[in-house]
Amino acid sequence: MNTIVNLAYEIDPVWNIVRRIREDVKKALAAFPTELRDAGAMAASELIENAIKYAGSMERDAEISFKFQADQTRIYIAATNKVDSPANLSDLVDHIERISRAEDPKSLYIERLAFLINNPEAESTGLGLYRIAYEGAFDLSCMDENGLVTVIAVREIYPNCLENHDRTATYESGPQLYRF
Amino acid sequence: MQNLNTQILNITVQADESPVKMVWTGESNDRNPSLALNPYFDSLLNQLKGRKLVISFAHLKYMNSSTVAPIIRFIKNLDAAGVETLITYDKRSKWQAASFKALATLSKLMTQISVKGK
Repeated sequence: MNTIVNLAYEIDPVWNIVRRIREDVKKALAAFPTELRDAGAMAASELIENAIKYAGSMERDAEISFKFQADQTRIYIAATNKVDSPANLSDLVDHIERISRAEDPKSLYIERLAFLINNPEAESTGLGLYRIAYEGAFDLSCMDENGLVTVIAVREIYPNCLENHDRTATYESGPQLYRF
Repeated sequence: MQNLNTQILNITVQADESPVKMVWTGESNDRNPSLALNPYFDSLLNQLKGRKLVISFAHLKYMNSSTVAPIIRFIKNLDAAGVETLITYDKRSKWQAASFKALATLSKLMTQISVKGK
């Protein structure tokens, strides 16, 4: 398979974009196996949800950008939003470091579910990033620069994942701009 | 027992069957699904007492992580109310298998809740 996928978004925080991006990613990954397609769509969806939720706590200028790239070797997703407070940024960095260091993301996910059972009225589930790591098998990282924080999810694609699929299929799209 | 129909998520309850069947279809994508789901589940809880329940997620296309909290709250309340509940999912779907196997691990802490892939 010689697949190249390249999507980019500049968006305002409108919730409907989440579903639209998820559907776009699924279409863009049509040549990939179902498991990778679902994992990519889920990770894209959860990352953009998080970015919108963070941006939503700010009054204006809550610009968010979203980038999705895929080829036969990896899926790369990045969501960027403004940092609303140093404390939230610190929590996010700690959260991602904890997930990155974990040998078994499933245990972290289950631990979080257990927390929710004991705290059913918790304001935030905090499950999205755990889910990306556990269910989607993505590696997570983040960086902050000039008041913007970018959360990055990368999943390497091994050749055996693509067995029995069209290795000559090509999807290519230039950056796309979405405005609302 | 009422159904829940939103633009993209439908929850259908077949109360004339035994056990009662609750079937999820579509997608759960709300920013805060607890706002709609918690009162809906609360409205069903009393009517489910003394009945058995099967909740089928097999035809659900997608749910975001925010949907997990109201589901967990509901099954915790079902367990406390003594409603014997079987949760089923599509084991061929990797995302469903991952999500619901994790839930199956936790269901062992409850007496009335079991989770099974079909």
